[in-house]
Amino acid sequence: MQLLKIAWRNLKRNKVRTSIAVFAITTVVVIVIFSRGLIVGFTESSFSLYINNMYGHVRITTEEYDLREPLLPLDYAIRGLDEGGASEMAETLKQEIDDIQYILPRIRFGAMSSLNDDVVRMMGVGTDMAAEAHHGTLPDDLIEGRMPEEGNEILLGSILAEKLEKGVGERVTFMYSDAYQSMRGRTFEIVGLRESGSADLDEHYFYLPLKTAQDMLWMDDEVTEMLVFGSDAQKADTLQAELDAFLNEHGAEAFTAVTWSNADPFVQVYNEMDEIMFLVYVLFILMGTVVVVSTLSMIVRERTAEIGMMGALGMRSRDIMNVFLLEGVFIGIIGSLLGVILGGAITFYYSLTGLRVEAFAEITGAFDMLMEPVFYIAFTFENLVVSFFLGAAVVALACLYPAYKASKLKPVDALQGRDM
Amino acid sequence: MNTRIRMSVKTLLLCIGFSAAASLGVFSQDLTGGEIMQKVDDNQFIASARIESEMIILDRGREIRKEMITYVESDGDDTNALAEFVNPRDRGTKYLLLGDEMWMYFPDAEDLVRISDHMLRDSMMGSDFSYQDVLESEQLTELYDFEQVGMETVDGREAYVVEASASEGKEPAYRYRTFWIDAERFVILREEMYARGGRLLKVMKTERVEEIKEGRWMPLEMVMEDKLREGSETRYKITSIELDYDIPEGTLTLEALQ
Repeated sequence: MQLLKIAWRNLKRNKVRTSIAVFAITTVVVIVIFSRGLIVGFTESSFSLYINNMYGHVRITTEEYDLREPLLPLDYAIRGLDEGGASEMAETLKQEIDDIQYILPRIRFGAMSSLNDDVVRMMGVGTDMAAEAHHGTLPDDLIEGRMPEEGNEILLGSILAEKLEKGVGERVTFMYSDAYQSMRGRTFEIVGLRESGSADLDEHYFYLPLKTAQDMLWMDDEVTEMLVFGSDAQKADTLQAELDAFLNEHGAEAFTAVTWSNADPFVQVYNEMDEIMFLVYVLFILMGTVVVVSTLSMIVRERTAEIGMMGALGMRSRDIMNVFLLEGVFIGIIGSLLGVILGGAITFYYSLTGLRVEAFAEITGAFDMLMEPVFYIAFTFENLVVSFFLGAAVVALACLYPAYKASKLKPVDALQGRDM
Repeated sequence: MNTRIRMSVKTLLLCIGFSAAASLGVFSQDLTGGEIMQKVDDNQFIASARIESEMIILDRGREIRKEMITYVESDGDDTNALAEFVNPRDRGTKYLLLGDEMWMYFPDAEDLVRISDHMLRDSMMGSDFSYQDVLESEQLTELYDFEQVGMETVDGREAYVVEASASEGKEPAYRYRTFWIDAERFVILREEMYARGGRLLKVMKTERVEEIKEGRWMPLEMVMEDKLREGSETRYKITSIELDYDIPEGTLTLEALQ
């Protein structure tokens, strides 16, 4: 207790110097809180886009389709267990695996439209509109019109509609290759526009009823993929294991089930980036810690005679070390606490208003990465607590060296002003 | 512009025909590459014809068969052709060639679609032929400089070997081509297409040649392999051909296509 008092009193001996050290820690903790919030917000937002639009929690395709996916090969479709049809397979899956909440069967296919002398290339998605209405995100993103219901009705990405110079109620002719590679053309009625926020989705995708897609592509009761949704995206590995077991049990080795986190290289990069970022956070804190260590080293040097006196009066080396260590810990705690308050306020503000990054989203969209143009920074209690302890702990560890150095001063040398 | 139709590829929409008998029986190593290709053009020129044909696409072990009826007419300057697919899956799909423009009609579409420049390298109906293969086939003498580089035997036939390289200022689909031309019949027996860097892109082989008019030989079956498409080849077979066919007025027009 006495040591605490000494350490606390010492902090107030040079308030300017202490304030600078505290400010350094506050600054880096604010940076860490903001960065963590940004990364978490960004990944959650992007992951959500990937899960809802591309992969579900686990995506089932045929092995061959998975290998050749960039070519969108319709001849490697899911034709069901023992070729009994995709719809029957989906029903069986739902009955036999309890964790499955719902399944979105889809066909993705390439299409294009001739516009003046140019060609607009895009991706068509045939999907179960009833299932989408209950579980999917398409209805949430509808900005005009309604969802397609039957026949040649389509929902068009908002940017794609602009490129095609078409709106709701108008008709548009697209060309596509069917499952037998025949070039075909069909005129569709635009009944709705979708704005997901992702430049890639809004510029390149249109949606139509699954039945229509199956008819026009010669894919009766076939789909190219099944997006399977369980109870929790974080438990996708468990769901995948159950699906693998189910597929093996039914002799469906030609199919593959892949979790959302393993399905796309960009998602994998995001995950790896998260791990790397932890190292970056520690480095940030270390940057601030340099100021504290430097301050403490300066204090030790200034108080050499005082340390000698403390030793001569019988204070143990360990206590001397603890006094200086506690000074550093106080700086770390106060700085981290202030950082948490300030960083928390900033992230809370941006978690409500969002951070607009249209230009960045546009650039990443060009690489087929799904990203929303507004990041809502994640404001979480966990972020504040982790950042606080990270700040306090790293500073405390870093202060061990100057504190140890002080404790090793010999009283006689110290009293004579001789450094070690 | 010399728009006489060369049998090899144009036969898709095709093809083709012949006018008067070409100069046959000439067998000389003195002919230049350009002269040889001109004789090929002359030999394969068609004034008008009705052609029934089929296209068999082999793709990674899967066979897709398409049948079509083609009407073609040429006045020596402009060539027009209409190909209508008649196999069940593609029934009603039509391609119309009007000079150097190509249009498509689909039964489920309200609009005609013009093949734009951006689509030229796309596969035509999933085959190993591209739209550009069809459109460029009649412009070879304008797009390339030819050189006869020797004689070889192809399937037991003496053949001129003619190398073609893109003429200055021209940007055809393939930078280089090599032709093996039957030295007696002036029919292309084999053709190889190369990219600028020398990579082999496509190979076309003629598998059946018949004399369909006295002194006039035509390739009636050929196989195209796109070397960039693994395990793929397209066999084109003419099953019936009526030369000097009286095509009804207005058949080869956009109005009729619609």
